[in-house]
Amino acid sequence: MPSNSRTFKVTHSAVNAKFSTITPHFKAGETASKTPKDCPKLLTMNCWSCDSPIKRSAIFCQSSYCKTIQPIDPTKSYFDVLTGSKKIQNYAQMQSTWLNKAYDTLKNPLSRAKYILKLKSKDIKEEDKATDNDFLFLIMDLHEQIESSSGDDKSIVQVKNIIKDLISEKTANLSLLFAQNNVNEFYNKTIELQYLYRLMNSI
Amino acid sequence: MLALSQTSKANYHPKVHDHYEKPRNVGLMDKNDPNVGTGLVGAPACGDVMRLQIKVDDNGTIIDAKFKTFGCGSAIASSSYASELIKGLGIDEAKNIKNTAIAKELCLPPVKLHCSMLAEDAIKSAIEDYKRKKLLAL
Repeated sequence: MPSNSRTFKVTHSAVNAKFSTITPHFKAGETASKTPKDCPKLLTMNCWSCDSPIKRSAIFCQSSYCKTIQPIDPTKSYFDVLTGSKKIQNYAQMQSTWLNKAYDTLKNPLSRAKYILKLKSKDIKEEDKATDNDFLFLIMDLHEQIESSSGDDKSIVQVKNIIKDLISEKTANLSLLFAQNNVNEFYNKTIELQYLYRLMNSI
Repeated sequence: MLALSQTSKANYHPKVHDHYEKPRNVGLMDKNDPNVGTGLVGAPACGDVMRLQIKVDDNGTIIDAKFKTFGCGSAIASSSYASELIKGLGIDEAKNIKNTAIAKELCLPPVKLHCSMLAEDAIKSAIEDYKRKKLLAL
């Protein structure tokens, strides 16, 4: 595994990439002479990513530097997971909630950008100001166009397309700025994206 | 203007609700008029935008104010109240209006204080725009 995948790098395709590289890949169960309970090998597997031995039931690699998500053990039934102890059920619930939250956060460009800012300790705060005036004029103008075109489908579609294009443009800018690690500009563009999403939601 | 849903209605103070339902001084002035100052501000965290305009006479008194806000009930109420508050004031008096005065009048909860700050910034920004124009005209 290349070293950069050890840390959780957030990119636009991070979620897909992370999940699509997971292929079932069990290396356990060679010895037929022993019963499963006697054989410690059956209770362990090797991490698909770093090859460290880990528990078969592990959801993430237990190696402290790898921590990569693991495939699902095909020998496990739903009952194994969900009728186990209360503790196991709770943890299963927490894992799935956490992963769902991660997925939802990263799939949307705005929440992804805000999350990246949080990781960089540069969250957008309530009392933050700024944004350049020309951009605010544009936003105000688009809001007013939406308001005045109520009922007129044609002009709504036009405004919607303008906003969509701007969102794509800002999202592309963010990818580039992320690659350049330009946190300050990333912050500014995220704010612009926030205004645009707000506009989109008002239609 | 969109009606607030029942649930969010219940969360607003009656004074906020009153300004939201019957906003004072909504409108647009000609921003190229030399006697008009335009303040345009936004809240980066939520994407609200607020425009406040003042018309100033030769004695430096604000004789009219108009606003337009795309935002939550508290942001609309804050700008509506601010537009009422500044009418008749001299620009130097208006400049000193603090967001706490707006928040107090509307009984804004702590999570909505930033809406009153936005209104304070809008007043200051409109006054600055007016002054800048006057300087340029000299």
